[in-house]
Amino acid sequence: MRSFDKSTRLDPALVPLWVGLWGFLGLFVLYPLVRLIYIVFTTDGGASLINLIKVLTSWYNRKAFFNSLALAAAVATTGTFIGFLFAFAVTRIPLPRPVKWFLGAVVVLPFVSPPFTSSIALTMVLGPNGLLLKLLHAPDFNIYGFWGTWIAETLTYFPVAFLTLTAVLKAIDPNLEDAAMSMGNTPWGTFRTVTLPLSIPGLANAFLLLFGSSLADFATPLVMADHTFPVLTTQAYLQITGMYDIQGGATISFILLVPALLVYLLQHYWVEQRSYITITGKAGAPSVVKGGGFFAETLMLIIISAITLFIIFLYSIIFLGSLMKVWGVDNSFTLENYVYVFTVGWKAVKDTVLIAVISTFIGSAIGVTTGYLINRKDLPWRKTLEFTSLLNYVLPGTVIGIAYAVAFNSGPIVLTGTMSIIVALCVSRYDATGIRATIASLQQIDPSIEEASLSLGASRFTTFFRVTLPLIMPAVITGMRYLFVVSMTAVSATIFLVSVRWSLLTIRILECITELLFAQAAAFSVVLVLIVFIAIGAIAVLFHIIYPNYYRQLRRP
Amino acid sequence: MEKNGVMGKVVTLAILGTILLSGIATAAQPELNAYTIWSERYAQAIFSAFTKDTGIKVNWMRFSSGEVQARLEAEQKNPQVDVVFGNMAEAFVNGIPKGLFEPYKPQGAERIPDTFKDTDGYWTGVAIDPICFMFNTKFLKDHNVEAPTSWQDLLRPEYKSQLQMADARTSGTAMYRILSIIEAMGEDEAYIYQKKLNDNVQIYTKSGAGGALPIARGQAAGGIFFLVDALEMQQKGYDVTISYPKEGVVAGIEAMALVKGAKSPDLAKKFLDWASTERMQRIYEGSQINLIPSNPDVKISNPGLDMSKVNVLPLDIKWAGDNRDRLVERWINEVLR
Amino acid sequence: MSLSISLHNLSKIFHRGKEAFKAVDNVNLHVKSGELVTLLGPSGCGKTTILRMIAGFERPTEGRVLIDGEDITEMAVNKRKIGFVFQNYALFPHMNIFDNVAYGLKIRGVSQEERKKLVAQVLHMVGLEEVENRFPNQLSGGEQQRVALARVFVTNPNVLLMDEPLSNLDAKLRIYMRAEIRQLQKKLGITCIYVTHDQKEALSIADRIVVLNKGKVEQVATPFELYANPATLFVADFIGQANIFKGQVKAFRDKEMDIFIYGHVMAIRNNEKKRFKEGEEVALVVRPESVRLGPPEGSILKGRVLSRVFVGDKMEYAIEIEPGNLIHAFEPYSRDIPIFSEGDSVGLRINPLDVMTLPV
Repeated sequence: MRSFDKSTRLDPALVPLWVGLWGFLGLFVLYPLVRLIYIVFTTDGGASLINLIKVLTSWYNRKAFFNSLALAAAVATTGTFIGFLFAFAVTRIPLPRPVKWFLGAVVVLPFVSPPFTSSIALTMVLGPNGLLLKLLHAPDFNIYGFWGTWIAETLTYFPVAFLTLTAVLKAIDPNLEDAAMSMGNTPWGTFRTVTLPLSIPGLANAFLLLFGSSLADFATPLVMADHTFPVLTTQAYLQITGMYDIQGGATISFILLVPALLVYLLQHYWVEQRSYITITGKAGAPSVVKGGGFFAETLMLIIISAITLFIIFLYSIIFLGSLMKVWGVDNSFTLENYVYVFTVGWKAVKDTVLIAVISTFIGSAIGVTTGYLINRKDLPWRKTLEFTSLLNYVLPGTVIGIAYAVAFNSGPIVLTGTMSIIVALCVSRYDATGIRATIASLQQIDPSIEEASLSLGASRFTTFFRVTLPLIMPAVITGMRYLFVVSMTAVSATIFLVSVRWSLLTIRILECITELLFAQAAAFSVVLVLIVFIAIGAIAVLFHIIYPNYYRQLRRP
Repeated sequence: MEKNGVMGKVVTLAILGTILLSGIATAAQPELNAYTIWSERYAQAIFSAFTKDTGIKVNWMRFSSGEVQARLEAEQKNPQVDVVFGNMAEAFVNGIPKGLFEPYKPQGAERIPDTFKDTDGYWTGVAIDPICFMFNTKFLKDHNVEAPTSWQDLLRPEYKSQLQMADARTSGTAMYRILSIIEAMGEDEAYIYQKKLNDNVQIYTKSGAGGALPIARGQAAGGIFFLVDALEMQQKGYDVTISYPKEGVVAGIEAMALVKGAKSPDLAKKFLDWASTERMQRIYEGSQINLIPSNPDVKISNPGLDMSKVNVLPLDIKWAGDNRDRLVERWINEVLR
Repeated sequence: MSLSISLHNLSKIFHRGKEAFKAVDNVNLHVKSGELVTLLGPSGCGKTTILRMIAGFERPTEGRVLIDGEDITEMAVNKRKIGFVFQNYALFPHMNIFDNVAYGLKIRGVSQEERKKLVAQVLHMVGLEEVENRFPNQLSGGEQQRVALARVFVTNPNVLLMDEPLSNLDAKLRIYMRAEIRQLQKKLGITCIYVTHDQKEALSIADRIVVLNKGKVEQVATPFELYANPATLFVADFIGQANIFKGQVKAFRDKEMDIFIYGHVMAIRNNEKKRFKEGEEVALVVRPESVRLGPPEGSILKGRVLSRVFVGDKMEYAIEIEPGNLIHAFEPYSRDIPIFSEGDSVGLRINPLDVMTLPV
């Protein structure tokens, strides 16, 4: 700490919060990771690298390592490219508003659906004897392995690139493109020389984000990648569940941890700092939407339409499949799959929703508190707090799941088989978005508004609830939405934590898939997606009830 | 009125408290907890019958053979379940030296032949399930091939990238497939054979029955499965052909055991007793579960379960259990590579 | 009820990375009950920091703040019963005017009936009607300013702190508002500390002015004192305009000094506050409005008109007496006063009584 000057000390009113937050992080972020590292680097009581060596000497694990990286690079490339196309179409091509809205909605689908379903639909459609292949009279090709995983992950993650790049493209000062065109450049030329170069930090950012996501992806390769294409996430899981080797699995997950962390550091400290675009600046008036030229635009639209149709097709398959008796053989219409979901599967539905709701509330509270504290300049160890709170989000789910299983199964605190371990995992992993949104939102508030409240006699607590919170509500809502969605669809970490007393929908879906009950898996998926949409709608409605005049007030006259 | 500090403290404590308290609420379970590898439908039939007969509620979870083993090991210091019902016998053998199970000879198990029980009483077999070939009938017709009757038949070029079978790292089915081949041709020969067979394999599935539906649907030509899974496909209406290699197959023993350190050992014992009776094994036929009962008093009428014409090879379960890890390692290093 | 404010040895050091910046340096000040004191100085002089320390938004590095004799240095902001008016008004954007103004009352637990009454009263006092249901973004700058005042006045603070409240308004409105604020302050008799960088504003409303430079107090005095008897060169230059010459003391007598300047010896009245030694260098300050222009014959100081600017009520001349040396002279614009053109030779006449002497 720099100075002992009492005037830079933290406001004493906030100390209990600070302590509580660190307690939470210490227990649910640092402790499991420490236990994980301990189990990886010790054998029979002594520090050693034996586990690491054993894992690395296996040709299969080395293959998995390279595959993970190669796949991540491929997915990041195609995902960023497609995401950019969509983002460009939505921000720069004069499409009618309903179309833009529709594109946005379609793109959101992979986010809110459980991770396996697109993989299964893909298999049914492009796999051996696949529907689409039959229709197009195309020769069989092996969808399992690299190709299938690549396609499935690209479809799953390009929405992430889409959202990032949309924000980037929207934030580019339109004056720049105007200037280029006023000096005689064609739309395509402007795109090439102005828009594209300015988007590069955003593209790099998206690339790294997707790279990290693919590295951490567990569900897709579990279904789509076969023995010829092992990856680290499935390997770690299989090592534990197939070879009964927890140390080995933990070690593999540790190997996964290293590149994931590197990618994050790269993204956060190198790319984000170099952004040419300030997101907090005023959005310029999109007076004339600047496209990229007729030829380029047409090509773009064709690609986008094809992909959109494909996504809709895949999801229709899932929906239709849920209404069939036996997928592929008996196409007779039936609702018995849904009956199954709401009778035999009811426990999983109840448990998952309960866990998701609790995680959402606790996670939002912790997320807003963390964001609030990080935003204060008088906080000691601010950067450390920020980094630690994002750690579980940055690391792959497999790593965290194994760490939790190892840490809370023995030792001072035992939480195996409880709901709290799942809630703690969800909260510590997914409140990152809420934290970031809160920080961004807080930075937009003029500090004098809070000072005004204090000077009028309100305590810090009152000020927070009466003044600050209403003004950052959109960020809080964003965090809540995200928490709920990911708590409902999480699998890579939680697969290690389910028990006889608490089951999760995603695990149930996996079981159905394993038992070839595709129709039921589809029905579960549809129900899950519906629940998510209802919840999001409910949150929005709740918000409008509490703050009916919100948007009217804050809009400029 | 010091509202600042107090409220902050209260809120944080509330949050932490909620999280921890729900964890500490591991009160005594008045219910039976079990792991099983049987499919949902089968397990549901057995467990609900138990609940109906005794009134004891069962919380159960379904995993593949390897996952069950891994869980038991991980949970050793704090067992989450009381019994394991329906796992391959050699998995239990593997787990005995690790201290996962406790010996208990259930009442009613006297009728079950000794070959289907552990001598020390650690595990008790409840069903027999031989390995078989299952092929898509249409595929056979289209390619003008007969259903395979020898292990060597599977090496045919017509089946290139058309076979689906289980992954040895996670599936008990795979283990028994490998054991069958070993018993049929000797260990080293077996691995040379499997390497050749690998060329024809489209995908190794995580679970034993994972390839059954794709084959039934025509996405692959055929594969190697437990009889129960193959018959299930036929039952569902798919047109598949079941055959056996003349060199012989091994039959898996589905067994159950008492978990060491179980939180409700009396409930567990009650279950094990109940499950050893004829009553339980009669549920198979009644619920269309195509397993061969271990109790010879339970008669079956399904011709598909008639093993008189099938070359079922003897298996040293202890050897299988002890060598399991080594055999899987060999499979990874010699077959997959 | 208004109270006195005392600052004792107040200092504030800001740390930016490894560097330390002393924004406020050992400031001592006593403001009497009911007084309006302005903190005046260029940007970066520390005036806002001092104000924020009195409010409690910043913690002093050293020193104490007392209100009515009570040491409040460690007291939390919301306990200090001060009213703070921000430069950008800081109205709560998500509340309407009524809720904004009633905010402080609600905190204090005032009943709804009372609140309605008091809010209406105070809005009337600041000259606003019919705005209670509107939102801040629907009001003009001046109206928002008054709401900010109303919000603060309605809570009956002991002390009123204002941070450049008028700097966002246009010139005419500023002049009007500062008079209004002064009137209200006098009527309510609230002790007020007012920060501004606009000297005209300070001169027009303050009982006393504190001139600050680089965190230190240069002078505390009434507006007139400051203008007529600046204590330092900085003050002389900051308040009003000033011509500054350097000269040497030739002889020091009771009421007069002989200064050697531009080759001549002039007798100037003494600076009562400082005794100068012979041979010491001294600064002479002459206000432009004290410089009279006339024909060059017979004047000791002569020069050439370099530029001339007409600003409505006066003519501002820049006279070059020797290359690089300028004197500014302001002549009121009226019929009897001769006007000179650029390039004209002129003589300058300065009444020695108008010359202020200050240490260099």
